[in-house]
Amino acid sequence: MSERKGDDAVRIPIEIKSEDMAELQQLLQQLTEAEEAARTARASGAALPSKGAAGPQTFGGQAKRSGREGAAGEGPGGIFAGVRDMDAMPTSFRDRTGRQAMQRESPFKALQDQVKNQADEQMENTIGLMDQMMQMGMGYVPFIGGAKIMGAVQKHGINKLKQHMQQNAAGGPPQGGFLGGAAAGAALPVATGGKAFKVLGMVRKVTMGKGLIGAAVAGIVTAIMLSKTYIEWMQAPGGPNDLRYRRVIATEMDPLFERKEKQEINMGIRTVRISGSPATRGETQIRSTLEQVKRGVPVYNGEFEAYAKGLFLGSGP
Amino acid sequence: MSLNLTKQRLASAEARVDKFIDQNILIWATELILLPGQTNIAASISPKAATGLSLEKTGFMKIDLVWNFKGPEGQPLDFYLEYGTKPHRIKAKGKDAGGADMLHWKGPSGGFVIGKDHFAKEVRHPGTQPKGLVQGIKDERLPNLKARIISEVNNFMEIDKIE
Repeated sequence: MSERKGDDAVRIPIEIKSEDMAELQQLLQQLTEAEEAARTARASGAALPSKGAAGPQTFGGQAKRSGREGAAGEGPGGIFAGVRDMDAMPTSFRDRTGRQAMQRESPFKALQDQVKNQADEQMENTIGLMDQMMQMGMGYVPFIGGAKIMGAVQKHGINKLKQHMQQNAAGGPPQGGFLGGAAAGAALPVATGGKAFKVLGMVRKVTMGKGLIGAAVAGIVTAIMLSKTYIEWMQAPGGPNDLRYRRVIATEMDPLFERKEKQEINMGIRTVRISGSPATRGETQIRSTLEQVKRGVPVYNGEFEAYAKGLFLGSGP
Repeated sequence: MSLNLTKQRLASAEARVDKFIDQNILIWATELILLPGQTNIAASISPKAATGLSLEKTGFMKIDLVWNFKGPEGQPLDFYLEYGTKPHRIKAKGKDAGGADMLHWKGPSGGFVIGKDHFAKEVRHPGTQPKGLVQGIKDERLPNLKARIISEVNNFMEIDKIE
C-alpha cells in the first residue's frame, strides 16, 4: 500500500493502467478490430467495412474490384476501394472534350480590379457627401442671395467637379499624392489622397469666390474629407495603424486556448502564426507552429502550463 | 490517405493513448486529487499539513501521492496520523535535556474536571487510530481521475483522427 523511500514521507502510489478501465479497453478493442478490418481489406482488396461489405470472392468480382468499378458499384475498386474521398490528388479535371483553354485568373489582375473598384467607390462616396453638404448649405441659407450663391456653386463648381472626377477615374493612375510627390503612387491611400487634394483645391477655389457661406461650406467639406482621408491613410497597408497587423491579444495568449485547440495545434492540424511573442519571433515577425511541429519543437509544455496556472509541482519545502 | 498509414496509425493507437495519458496525468491528478486533497487536509488538520501534500511522477503512467508533514523536532506526524501509533509512554525530557521537567496539558483525562491543568512526569498514551487520510483521498478521488482520463482520451482520439 505504501512504501518508505529516502525522503521519509507517506507515499500512496497511483498507477493508471488502460486495461483497468473498461471504457478505454472498449475503445482500444474497437481500434484493434478496425486494424484487423484494415488488414483484411488490404489482403483481399475488398472495400472497407465502413464503405459497404465486400462482394463475393469470384473471378468476376475480383476483376470488377481491380478495375474502375468498385464492389458496391461506385468508385474505383482494388486497393482504392472506399477511399475515393481521401485521394491525394484531385480526380476531377477540366472537361478534356472542350476546346476552350483552361482559364486561370491572374492574381495581379484581380488585385488591380479590386483597387480600381475601391477607388471608384470612394469617389462616389465623396461626391455624394459633397452633394449632401451643398443641400444642407442651401437649406440653412434661405436669405438674400444664399440660394443664388449655392445654386451657382452647385452649377459651376460641383458639376464641373463631378465631370473632372469621372474623367480622372476613367483615366490612368492618379498623379501626385496627398502627402507630397515623394510618395506618389506608392499605395492606394496616397493615390486617392491625390484626388482628394485636387477636389479640395477645386472646392476651395469655387467657394471662396462666393462669399463667407461658400468659405464655411468649403471649410466643413475640407475638414470632413481631411479626417476621412487621414483615417484611411493611417489604416492603410504601410500606414502607422495598419489594419492588417491589428492583433487580438486574447487569441494569442496560450492560457486562453482551449485544450482541444492546443492539441490540434500540437499535432499540426491547425496552423497558428503568432507575432505576439517578442522573444521568439524571427526577422519576419512571425513563427509558424505548424513548422515547429514538423521540426519536432514542442509548441506547448505541460509543466509550463501548470506553472502558469499556479499548479506547478516543483520540489516543495 | 493511404491504407498503409491508416494501418500504422491503428497499430500505434494504443501506444499513443498511453503516451497521451502519461504526458497529462500529472496535470489531471493535480486538478482532481491534489488540490481537493489539500483542501480536505487543511480543513481537518491544518493549512501547514496541507502544504505537505504533493504529487510526484514516479514512472510511466505512475504517480505518487506524497504527504510530508513533520513536527517541530522532526517527528513524523504524517506517519503517526496515516498509520496510527501503538500504545506508548511519553516522558518529560527534563531541563537537563533542554525540555521541561513536567508534562502539562489541559482537558478531560480519566474523570478530571474539563479544562483543568494536568501535570505529570510520564503518561501512557493509548495510541492513535490510523486515519488513513492520504489513502482516503486517493480512494475517494481516483474514480474522478479515471473518468477524466476516459473523457480526455476520447477527446484526444476525436482530435487525432485524420479526416
